[in-house]
Amino acid sequence: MKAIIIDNLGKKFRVPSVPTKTLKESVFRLLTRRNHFDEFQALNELSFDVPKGQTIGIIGRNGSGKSTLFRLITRVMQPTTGNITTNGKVAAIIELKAGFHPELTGLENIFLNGAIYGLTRKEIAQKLDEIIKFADIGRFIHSPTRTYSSGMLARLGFALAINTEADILLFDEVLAVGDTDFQAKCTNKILELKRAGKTIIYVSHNMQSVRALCDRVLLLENGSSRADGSPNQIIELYETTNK
Amino acid sequence: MRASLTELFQAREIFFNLTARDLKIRYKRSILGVVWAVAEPLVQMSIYTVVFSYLLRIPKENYPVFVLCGILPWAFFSTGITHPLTAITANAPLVKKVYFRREVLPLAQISGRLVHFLLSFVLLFIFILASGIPVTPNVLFLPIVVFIQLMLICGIGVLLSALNTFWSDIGFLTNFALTSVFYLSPVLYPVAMVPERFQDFYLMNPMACLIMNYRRILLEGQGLDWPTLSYSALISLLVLAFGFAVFRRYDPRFAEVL
Repeated sequence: MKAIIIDNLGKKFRVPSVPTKTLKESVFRLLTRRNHFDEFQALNELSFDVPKGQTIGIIGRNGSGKSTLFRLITRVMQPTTGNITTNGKVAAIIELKAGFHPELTGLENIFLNGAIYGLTRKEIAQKLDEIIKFADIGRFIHSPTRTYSSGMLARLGFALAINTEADILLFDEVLAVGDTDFQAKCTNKILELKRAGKTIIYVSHNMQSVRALCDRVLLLENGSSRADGSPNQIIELYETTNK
Repeated sequence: MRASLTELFQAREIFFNLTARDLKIRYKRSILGVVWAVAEPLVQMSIYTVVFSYLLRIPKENYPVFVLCGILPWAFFSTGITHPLTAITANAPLVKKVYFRREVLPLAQISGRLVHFLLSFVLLFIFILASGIPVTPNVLFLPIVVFIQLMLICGIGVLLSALNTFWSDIGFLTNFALTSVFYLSPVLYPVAMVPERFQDFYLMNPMACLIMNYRRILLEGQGLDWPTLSYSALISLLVLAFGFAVFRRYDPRFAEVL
Protein backbone atom coordinates (compact mmCIF):
# COMPACT_ATOMS: atom_id res chain seq x y z
CA MET A 1 0.00 0.00 0.00
CA LYS A 2 1.47 3.31 -1.11
CA ALA A 3 0.79 6.40 0.96
CA ILE A 4 2.19 8.81 -1.60
CA ILE A 5 2.79 8.31 -5.29
CA ILE A 6 4.68 11.03 -7.09
CA ASP A 7 4.63 10.61 -10.82
CA ASN A 8 6.76 12.64 -13.19
CA LEU A 9 6.26 15.78 -11.15
CA GLY A 10 7.31 19.12 -12.55
CA LYS A 11 6.83 22.66 -11.32
CA LYS A 12 7.72 25.67 -13.37
CA PHE A 13 7.50 29.16 -11.92
CA ARG A 14 7.09 32.24 -14.00
CA VAL A 15 9.24 34.89 -12.46
CA PRO A 16 8.67 38.35 -13.90
CA SER A 17 12.03 39.65 -15.08
CA VAL A 18 10.95 43.06 -13.84
CA PRO A 19 8.36 42.75 -11.11
CA THR A 20 4.88 43.99 -12.06
CA LYS A 21 3.24 45.49 -9.06
CA THR A 22 0.47 47.60 -10.46
CA LEU A 23 -2.39 47.28 -12.87
CA LYS A 24 -0.97 50.13 -14.94
CA GLU A 25 2.20 48.19 -15.56
CA SER A 26 0.27 45.02 -16.36
CA VAL A 27 -1.97 46.79 -18.85
CA PHE A 28 0.98 48.62 -20.36
CA ARG A 29 2.84 45.37 -20.84
CA LEU A 30 -0.18 43.64 -22.23
CA LEU A 31 -0.62 46.41 -24.77
CA THR A 32 3.01 46.60 -25.74
CA ARG A 33 3.29 42.80 -25.62
CA ARG A 34 6.37 43.11 -23.55
CA ASN A 35 5.35 40.58 -20.98
CA HIS A 36 8.72 39.21 -20.05
CA PHE A 37 8.93 36.27 -17.76
CA ASP A 38 11.88 34.22 -16.77
CA GLU A 39 11.03 30.62 -16.27
CA PHE A 40 12.36 28.71 -13.37
CA GLN A 41 12.05 24.95 -13.24
CA ALA A 42 11.86 24.25 -9.51
CA LEU A 43 11.06 20.56 -9.94
CA ASN A 44 11.74 18.41 -12.95
CA GLU A 45 10.45 14.93 -13.78
CA LEU A 46 10.51 13.82 -10.20
CA SER A 47 9.06 10.37 -9.52
CA PHE A 48 9.08 8.34 -6.34
CA ASP A 49 6.63 6.70 -4.01
CA VAL A 50 6.42 6.24 -0.29
CA PRO A 51 4.95 3.06 1.20
CA LYS A 52 2.56 3.46 4.08
CA GLY A 53 4.34 3.70 7.42
CA GLN A 54 7.70 4.78 6.01
CA THR A 55 9.61 7.82 7.19
CA ILE A 56 11.40 9.44 4.31
CA GLY A 57 13.91 12.24 4.70
CA ILE A 58 14.24 14.84 1.96
CA ILE A 59 17.59 16.59 1.87
CA GLY A 60 19.33 18.91 -0.53
CA ARG A 61 20.90 22.34 -0.72
CA ASN A 62 18.89 25.54 -0.62
CA GLY A 63 16.96 25.90 -3.86
CA SER A 64 17.03 22.20 -4.66
CA GLY A 65 13.22 22.04 -4.66
CA LYS A 66 12.46 20.75 -1.16
CA SER A 67 10.00 23.48 -0.27
CA THR A 68 8.30 23.34 -3.64
CA LEU A 69 7.85 19.59 -3.30
CA PHE A 70 6.49 20.18 0.16
CA ARG A 71 3.96 22.72 -1.06
CA LEU A 72 2.85 20.50 -3.91
CA ILE A 73 2.22 17.56 -1.57
CA THR A 74 0.18 19.76 0.77
CA ARG A 75 -1.77 21.07 -2.29
CA VAL A 76 -0.89 24.67 -1.51
CA MET A 77 0.46 24.86 -5.05
CA GLN A 78 -0.46 22.93 -8.15
CA PRO A 79 2.05 21.05 -10.28
CA THR A 80 2.79 22.19 -13.83
CA THR A 81 3.19 18.60 -15.00
CA GLY A 82 2.72 15.18 -13.45
CA ASN A 83 0.62 13.95 -10.58
CA ILE A 84 0.64 13.46 -6.85
CA THR A 85 -1.58 10.83 -5.30
CA THR A 86 -1.96 10.72 -1.54
CA ASN A 87 -3.86 8.05 0.35
CA GLY A 88 -5.01 9.49 3.64
CA LYS A 89 -5.21 12.82 5.35
CA VAL A 90 -2.18 15.08 5.00
CA ALA A 91 -1.02 17.52 7.66
CA ALA A 92 2.01 19.74 7.36
CA ILE A 93 3.95 20.96 10.34
CA ILE A 94 5.79 23.98 9.09
CA GLU A 95 6.87 27.33 10.48
CA LEU A 96 4.50 26.68 13.26
CA LYS A 97 3.19 30.13 13.83
CA ALA A 98 1.84 30.67 10.30
CA GLY A 99 -1.76 30.34 11.32
CA PHE A 100 -1.59 31.94 14.75
CA HIS A 101 -3.17 35.29 15.17
CA PRO A 102 -1.21 37.37 17.69
CA GLU A 103 -4.28 38.96 19.27
CA LEU A 104 -6.05 35.68 20.00
CA THR A 105 -5.28 33.59 23.06
CA GLY A 106 -3.50 30.27 22.80
CA LEU A 107 -6.80 28.50 23.35
CA GLU A 108 -8.61 30.47 20.64
CA ASN A 109 -5.73 29.83 18.28
CA ILE A 110 -5.94 26.10 18.93
CA PHE A 111 -9.54 26.08 17.76
CA LEU A 112 -8.88 28.30 14.77
CA ASN A 113 -5.89 26.30 13.61
CA GLY A 114 -7.52 22.99 14.39
CA ALA A 115 -10.28 23.98 11.97
CA ILE A 116 -7.69 24.89 9.36
CA TYR A 117 -6.23 21.40 9.79
CA GLY A 118 -9.73 20.05 9.15
CA LEU A 119 -10.81 19.16 12.69
CA THR A 120 -14.26 19.88 14.04
CA ARG A 121 -14.77 21.80 17.24
CA LYS A 122 -15.72 18.62 19.03
CA GLU A 123 -12.61 16.76 17.93
CA ILE A 124 -10.42 19.62 19.10
CA ALA A 125 -12.20 19.78 22.44
CA GLN A 126 -11.45 16.09 22.96
CA LYS A 127 -7.76 16.59 22.29
CA LEU A 128 -7.45 19.86 24.10
CA ASP A 129 -5.90 18.48 27.27
CA GLU A 130 -3.32 16.54 25.36
CA ILE A 131 -2.41 19.53 23.22
CA ILE A 132 -2.06 21.85 26.21
CA LYS A 133 -0.06 19.27 28.10
CA PHE A 134 2.40 18.73 25.25
CA ALA A 135 2.76 22.45 24.60
CA ASP A 136 3.52 22.93 28.30
CA ILE A 137 2.83 26.65 28.38
CA GLY A 138 0.86 26.74 31.62
CA ARG A 139 -1.45 29.63 32.30
CA PHE A 140 -0.25 31.43 29.16
CA ILE A 141 -2.81 29.38 27.25
CA HIS A 142 -5.31 32.12 28.16
CA SER A 143 -3.06 34.98 27.03
CA PRO A 144 -2.81 36.41 23.51
CA THR A 145 -0.13 34.59 21.54
CA ARG A 146 1.70 37.88 20.89
CA THR A 147 2.92 37.58 24.48
CA TYR A 148 4.49 34.18 23.79
CA SER A 149 8.17 33.53 23.34
CA SER A 150 9.12 31.93 20.04
CA GLY A 151 9.76 28.66 21.86
CA MET A 152 6.26 28.69 23.29
CA LEU A 153 4.76 29.36 19.86
CA ALA A 154 6.74 26.49 18.41
CA ARG A 155 5.62 24.13 21.16
CA LEU A 156 1.98 25.06 20.77
CA GLY A 157 2.11 24.72 16.98
CA PHE A 158 3.83 21.36 17.15
CA ALA A 159 1.47 20.08 19.82
CA LEU A 160 -1.52 21.01 17.70
CA ALA A 161 -0.19 19.63 14.45
CA ILE A 162 0.70 16.19 15.80
CA ASN A 163 -2.79 15.85 17.22
CA THR A 164 -4.58 16.29 13.90
CA GLU A 165 -5.06 12.57 13.26
CA ALA A 166 -3.40 12.82 9.87
CA ASP A 167 -2.11 9.68 8.15
CA ILE A 168 0.64 11.50 6.33
CA LEU A 169 2.69 14.04 8.25
CA LEU A 170 5.10 16.50 6.74
CA PHE A 171 7.77 18.12 8.86
CA ASP A 172 9.87 21.02 7.63
CA GLU A 173 12.76 22.04 9.86
CA VAL A 174 10.66 21.71 13.00
CA LEU A 175 13.60 20.92 15.18
CA ALA A 176 15.35 24.14 14.26
CA VAL A 177 13.30 25.98 16.86
CA GLY A 178 13.03 25.35 20.54
CA ASP A 179 15.57 24.36 23.13
CA THR A 180 17.25 20.99 23.55
CA ASP A 181 14.49 19.72 25.81
CA PHE A 182 11.83 20.56 23.27
CA GLN A 183 13.87 19.06 20.46
CA ALA A 184 14.20 15.82 22.39
CA LYS A 185 10.48 15.85 23.10
CA CYS A 186 9.70 16.36 19.40
CA THR A 187 12.08 13.62 18.34
CA ASN A 188 10.41 11.24 20.76
CA LYS A 189 7.00 12.23 19.50
CA ILE A 190 8.00 11.69 15.88
CA LEU A 191 9.35 8.25 16.79
CA GLU A 192 6.07 7.54 18.53
CA LEU A 193 4.12 8.58 15.43
CA LYS A 194 6.36 6.29 13.39
CA ARG A 195 5.56 3.37 15.63
CA ALA A 196 1.87 4.22 15.26
CA GLY A 197 2.26 3.53 11.54
CA LYS A 198 2.12 7.09 10.22
CA THR A 199 3.79 7.99 6.97
CA ILE A 200 6.23 10.81 7.54
CA ILE A 201 8.06 13.14 5.20
CA TYR A 202 10.87 14.87 7.02
CA VAL A 203 12.64 17.81 5.44
CA SER A 204 15.72 19.05 7.24
CA HIS A 205 19.26 20.31 7.00
CA ASN A 206 20.07 18.67 10.29
CA MET A 207 21.71 15.41 9.18
CA GLN A 208 21.89 14.07 12.69
CA SER A 209 18.13 14.16 13.08
CA VAL A 210 17.58 12.79 9.57
CA ARG A 211 19.80 9.85 10.42
CA ALA A 212 17.98 9.29 13.70
CA LEU A 213 14.46 9.42 12.31
CA CYS A 214 14.37 8.31 8.69
CA ASP A 215 14.13 4.88 7.10
CA ARG A 216 15.07 6.24 3.72
CA VAL A 217 16.50 9.45 2.32
CA LEU A 218 15.95 11.22 -0.98
CA LEU A 219 18.56 13.70 -2.13
CA LEU A 220 17.26 16.48 -4.34
CA GLU A 221 19.46 18.45 -6.67
CA ASN A 222 18.22 21.16 -9.04
CA GLY A 223 14.69 19.87 -8.79
CA SER A 224 15.47 16.27 -9.61
CA SER A 225 16.20 13.20 -7.59
CA ARG A 226 19.93 12.71 -7.40
CA ALA A 227 19.98 9.71 -5.10
CA ASP A 228 17.50 7.66 -3.13
CA GLY A 229 18.43 5.03 -0.56
CA SER A 230 19.46 4.27 2.98
CA PRO A 231 20.09 7.28 5.24
CA ASN A 232 23.78 6.60 5.93
CA GLN A 233 24.66 6.08 2.30
CA ILE A 234 22.78 9.14 0.96
CA ILE A 235 23.90 11.48 3.74
CA GLU A 236 27.50 10.48 3.14
CA LEU A 237 27.12 11.17 -0.56
CA TYR A 238 25.55 14.55 0.20
CA GLU A 239 28.20 15.54 2.69
CA THR A 240 31.13 14.55 0.48
CA THR A 241 29.77 16.44 -2.57
CA ASN A 242 29.04 19.46 -0.45
CA LYS A 243 32.57 19.93 0.77
CA MET B 1 -18.49 21.20 -9.74
CA ARG B 2 -20.28 19.02 -7.22
CA ALA B 3 -17.04 17.87 -5.57
CA SER B 4 -15.95 21.49 -5.42
CA LEU B 5 -19.12 22.52 -3.60
CA THR B 6 -18.80 19.62 -1.16
CA GLU B 7 -15.26 20.69 -0.38
CA LEU B 8 -16.44 24.26 0.15
CA PHE B 9 -19.12 23.02 2.52
CA GLN B 10 -16.51 21.03 4.46
CA ALA B 11 -14.58 24.23 5.01
CA ARG B 12 -17.43 25.65 7.11
CA GLU B 13 -15.57 24.98 10.35
CA ILE B 14 -12.72 27.23 9.20
CA PHE B 15 -15.27 29.75 8.03
CA PHE B 16 -17.00 30.00 11.42
CA ASN B 17 -13.68 30.22 13.22
CA LEU B 18 -12.40 32.95 10.92
CA THR B 19 -15.64 34.91 11.31
CA ALA B 20 -15.34 34.71 15.08
CA ARG B 21 -11.70 35.75 14.82
CA ASP B 22 -12.57 38.75 12.67
CA LEU B 23 -15.22 39.96 15.09
CA LYS B 24 -13.11 39.33 18.18
CA ILE B 25 -10.01 41.05 16.87
CA ARG B 26 -11.88 44.06 15.58
CA TYR B 27 -13.00 44.97 19.08
CA LYS B 28 -10.34 43.40 21.25
CA ARG B 29 -8.29 46.52 21.78
CA SER B 30 -11.09 49.04 21.88
CA ILE B 31 -12.68 50.17 25.09
CA LEU B 32 -16.11 50.86 23.65
CA GLY B 33 -16.07 47.64 21.62
CA VAL B 34 -19.33 46.87 19.89
CA VAL B 35 -20.68 50.33 20.79
CA TRP B 36 -18.76 51.53 17.74
CA ALA B 37 -21.13 49.52 15.56
CA VAL B 38 -23.90 51.82 16.75
CA ALA B 39 -21.95 55.03 17.22
CA GLU B 40 -20.73 55.28 13.65
CA PRO B 41 -24.13 55.23 11.90
CA LEU B 42 -25.54 57.53 14.60
CA VAL B 43 -22.91 60.16 13.94
CA GLN B 44 -23.40 59.83 10.19
CA MET B 45 -27.14 60.10 10.62
CA SER B 46 -26.79 63.32 12.62
CA ILE B 47 -24.44 64.95 10.14
CA TYR B 48 -26.49 63.98 7.10
CA THR B 49 -29.63 65.25 8.80
CA VAL B 50 -28.06 68.62 9.51
CA VAL B 51 -26.61 68.98 6.02
CA PHE B 52 -29.29 67.50 3.82
CA SER B 53 -32.46 68.12 5.81
CA TYR B 54 -31.76 71.51 7.46
CA LEU B 55 -29.32 73.08 5.02
CA LEU B 56 -30.19 71.57 1.66
CA ARG B 57 -33.84 70.95 2.60
CA ILE B 58 -34.47 67.61 1.02
CA PRO B 59 -38.26 67.37 1.31
CA LYS B 60 -38.64 64.24 3.37
CA GLU B 61 -40.41 63.74 6.67
CA ASN B 62 -38.61 61.86 9.40
CA TYR B 63 -35.34 62.45 7.59
CA PRO B 64 -33.13 60.94 10.34
CA VAL B 65 -34.89 57.56 10.14
CA PHE B 66 -35.10 57.82 6.36
CA VAL B 67 -31.36 58.38 6.03
CA LEU B 68 -30.48 55.77 8.64
CA CYS B 69 -32.44 53.21 6.61
CA GLY B 70 -30.10 54.03 3.71
CA ILE B 71 -26.87 54.33 5.72
CA LEU B 72 -27.05 50.85 7.23
CA PRO B 73 -27.44 48.82 3.99
CA TRP B 74 -24.88 51.09 2.36
CA ALA B 75 -22.37 50.51 5.17
CA PHE B 76 -22.93 46.77 4.81
CA PHE B 77 -22.27 47.06 1.08
CA SER B 78 -19.18 49.25 1.28
CA THR B 79 -17.48 47.44 4.18
CA GLY B 80 -18.66 44.10 2.76
CA ILE B 81 -16.63 44.68 -0.39
CA THR B 82 -13.68 46.61 1.05
CA HIS B 83 -12.92 44.30 3.98
CA PRO B 84 -12.42 41.19 1.83
CA LEU B 85 -9.99 43.08 -0.44
CA THR B 86 -7.01 42.12 1.69
CA ALA B 87 -8.42 38.78 2.86
CA ILE B 88 -5.90 36.75 0.87
CA THR B 89 -2.85 39.00 1.20
CA ALA B 90 -3.34 39.54 4.95
CA ASN B 91 -3.40 35.77 5.45
CA ALA B 92 -0.39 35.14 3.24
CA PRO B 93 1.44 32.94 5.79
CA LEU B 94 -1.58 30.68 6.00
CA VAL B 95 -2.26 30.58 2.27
CA LYS B 96 1.35 29.63 1.61
CA LYS B 97 1.46 26.88 4.18
CA VAL B 98 -1.83 25.06 4.51
CA TYR B 99 -4.33 23.95 1.93
CA PHE B 100 -7.94 24.87 2.51
CA ARG B 101 -10.61 26.47 0.35
CA ARG B 102 -9.47 30.08 0.13
CA GLU B 103 -12.98 31.33 -0.57
CA VAL B 104 -13.55 31.12 3.19
CA LEU B 105 -11.14 34.01 3.76
CA PRO B 106 -13.21 36.70 1.98
CA LEU B 107 -16.47 35.01 2.95
CA ALA B 108 -15.57 35.08 6.64
CA GLN B 109 -14.88 38.83 6.37
CA ILE B 110 -18.28 39.30 4.77
CA SER B 111 -20.09 37.24 7.37
CA GLY B 112 -18.48 39.37 10.07
CA ARG B 113 -19.96 42.40 8.31
CA LEU B 114 -23.34 40.64 8.09
CA VAL B 115 -23.42 40.09 11.84
CA HIS B 116 -22.57 43.75 12.28
CA PHE B 117 -25.33 44.76 9.86
CA LEU B 118 -27.97 42.63 11.56
CA LEU B 119 -27.01 44.05 14.96
CA SER B 120 -27.37 47.56 13.62
CA PHE B 121 -31.00 46.81 12.74
CA VAL B 122 -31.73 47.02 16.45
CA LEU B 123 -30.77 50.68 16.25
CA LEU B 124 -33.00 51.22 13.22
CA PHE B 125 -35.99 49.59 14.89
CA ILE B 126 -35.54 51.76 17.97
CA PHE B 127 -35.71 54.84 15.74
CA ILE B 128 -38.67 53.50 13.78
CA LEU B 129 -40.67 52.89 16.95
CA ALA B 130 -39.60 56.18 18.53
CA SER B 131 -40.69 58.13 15.44
CA GLY B 132 -44.10 56.51 15.54
CA ILE B 133 -43.72 54.90 12.11
CA PRO B 134 -46.15 51.96 12.00
CA VAL B 135 -44.54 48.55 11.71
CA THR B 136 -46.46 46.38 9.24
CA PRO B 137 -46.24 42.66 8.39
CA ASN B 138 -44.28 43.73 5.29
CA VAL B 139 -41.25 43.83 7.58
CA LEU B 140 -41.25 40.04 7.22
CA PHE B 141 -39.92 40.49 3.68
CA LEU B 142 -36.70 41.81 5.20
CA PRO B 143 -34.73 38.51 5.02
CA ILE B 144 -35.36 38.35 1.26
CA VAL B 145 -33.81 41.76 0.66
CA VAL B 146 -30.90 41.03 3.03
CA PHE B 147 -30.28 37.74 1.24
CA ILE B 148 -30.13 39.35 -2.19
CA GLN B 149 -27.76 42.01 -0.89
CA LEU B 150 -25.62 39.31 0.68
CA MET B 151 -25.33 37.49 -2.67
CA LEU B 152 -24.30 40.71 -4.36
CA ILE B 153 -21.67 41.45 -1.71
CA CYS B 154 -20.30 37.90 -1.75
CA GLY B 155 -19.94 38.00 -5.53
CA ILE B 156 -18.13 41.34 -5.58
CA GLY B 157 -16.13 40.63 -2.40
CA VAL B 158 -14.84 37.25 -3.58
CA LEU B 159 -14.03 38.67 -7.01
CA LEU B 160 -12.11 41.66 -5.66
CA SER B 161 -10.21 39.65 -3.06
CA ALA B 162 -8.82 37.47 -5.87
CA LEU B 163 -7.95 40.38 -8.15
CA ASN B 164 -6.46 42.51 -5.37
CA THR B 165 -4.00 39.71 -4.63
CA PHE B 166 -2.41 40.32 -8.02
CA TRP B 167 -2.98 44.04 -8.51
CA SER B 168 -3.15 46.29 -5.49
CA ASP B 169 -4.71 48.99 -7.69
CA ILE B 170 -7.98 47.15 -7.33
CA GLY B 171 -8.16 48.47 -3.78
CA PHE B 172 -7.79 52.09 -4.88
CA LEU B 173 -10.24 51.62 -7.73
CA THR B 174 -12.78 50.10 -5.38
CA ASN B 175 -12.66 53.02 -2.98
CA PHE B 176 -13.02 55.45 -5.85
CA ALA B 177 -15.93 53.51 -7.36
CA LEU B 178 -17.66 53.24 -3.99
CA THR B 179 -17.65 57.01 -3.49
CA SER B 180 -19.26 57.45 -6.91
CA VAL B 181 -21.88 54.75 -6.44
CA PHE B 182 -22.72 56.21 -3.02
CA TYR B 183 -24.02 59.39 -4.64
CA LEU B 184 -25.73 57.38 -7.37
CA SER B 185 -27.64 55.39 -4.75
CA PRO B 186 -30.64 56.71 -2.83
CA VAL B 187 -28.90 56.92 0.53
CA LEU B 188 -29.29 60.67 1.12
CA TYR B 189 -32.34 61.35 -1.05
CA PRO B 190 -35.45 59.42 -2.15
CA VAL B 191 -35.58 57.74 -5.56
CA ALA B 192 -38.60 59.94 -6.30
CA MET B 193 -36.29 62.97 -6.57
CA VAL B 194 -34.56 61.44 -9.58
CA PRO B 195 -36.16 62.89 -12.76
CA GLU B 196 -38.65 60.49 -14.32
CA ARG B 197 -36.76 60.05 -17.58
CA PHE B 198 -33.59 58.97 -15.75
CA GLN B 199 -35.32 56.58 -13.36
CA ASP B 200 -34.93 53.43 -15.48
CA PHE B 201 -31.27 54.19 -15.95
CA TYR B 202 -30.85 55.08 -12.27
CA LEU B 203 -32.41 51.79 -11.16
CA MET B 204 -29.88 49.76 -13.14
CA ASN B 205 -27.75 50.06 -10.01
CA PRO B 206 -28.77 47.04 -7.91
CA MET B 207 -27.91 48.89 -4.68
CA ALA B 208 -30.46 51.58 -5.63
CA CYS B 209 -33.11 48.87 -6.03
CA LEU B 210 -32.21 47.27 -2.74
CA ILE B 211 -32.18 50.47 -0.67
CA MET B 212 -35.51 51.44 -2.23
CA ASN B 213 -36.99 48.10 -1.18
CA TYR B 214 -35.57 48.33 2.34
CA ARG B 215 -37.36 51.65 2.76
CA ARG B 216 -40.62 50.37 1.29
CA ILE B 217 -40.97 47.52 3.75
CA LEU B 218 -39.44 49.17 6.82
CA LEU B 219 -40.61 52.78 6.65
CA GLU B 220 -43.40 53.05 4.13
CA GLY B 221 -45.41 50.00 5.14
CA GLN B 222 -45.49 48.82 1.54
CA GLY B 223 -44.78 45.43 0.02
CA LEU B 224 -41.75 44.67 -2.10
CA ASP B 225 -41.41 46.27 -5.49
CA TRP B 226 -41.05 43.03 -7.41
CA PRO B 227 -39.67 44.36 -10.72
CA THR B 228 -36.69 46.12 -9.11
CA LEU B 229 -36.24 43.35 -6.57
CA SER B 230 -36.15 40.52 -9.10
CA TYR B 231 -33.84 42.59 -11.28
CA SER B 232 -31.40 43.06 -8.40
CA ALA B 233 -31.69 39.35 -7.52
CA LEU B 234 -30.78 38.40 -11.08
CA ILE B 235 -27.81 40.76 -11.17
CA SER B 236 -26.63 39.55 -7.76
CA LEU B 237 -26.82 35.94 -8.85
CA LEU B 238 -24.82 36.66 -12.00
CA VAL B 239 -22.22 38.63 -10.05
CA LEU B 240 -22.02 35.79 -7.52
CA ALA B 241 -21.42 33.16 -10.20
CA PHE B 242 -18.89 35.39 -11.97
CA GLY B 243 -17.05 36.24 -8.74
CA PHE B 244 -16.65 32.60 -7.72
CA ALA B 245 -15.62 31.54 -11.22
CA VAL B 246 -12.89 34.19 -11.34
CA PHE B 247 -11.74 33.28 -7.85
CA ARG B 248 -11.46 29.59 -8.79
CA ARG B 249 -9.44 30.54 -11.82
CA TYR B 250 -6.90 32.60 -9.89
CA ASP B 251 -6.87 30.43 -6.77
CA PRO B 252 -4.04 28.06 -7.84
CA ARG B 253 -1.67 31.01 -8.25
CA PHE B 254 -2.26 32.72 -4.90
CA ALA B 255 0.53 30.86 -3.10
CA GLU B 256 2.92 31.71 -5.94
CA VAL B 257 2.48 35.47 -5.93
CA LEU B 258 2.29 36.08 -2.19
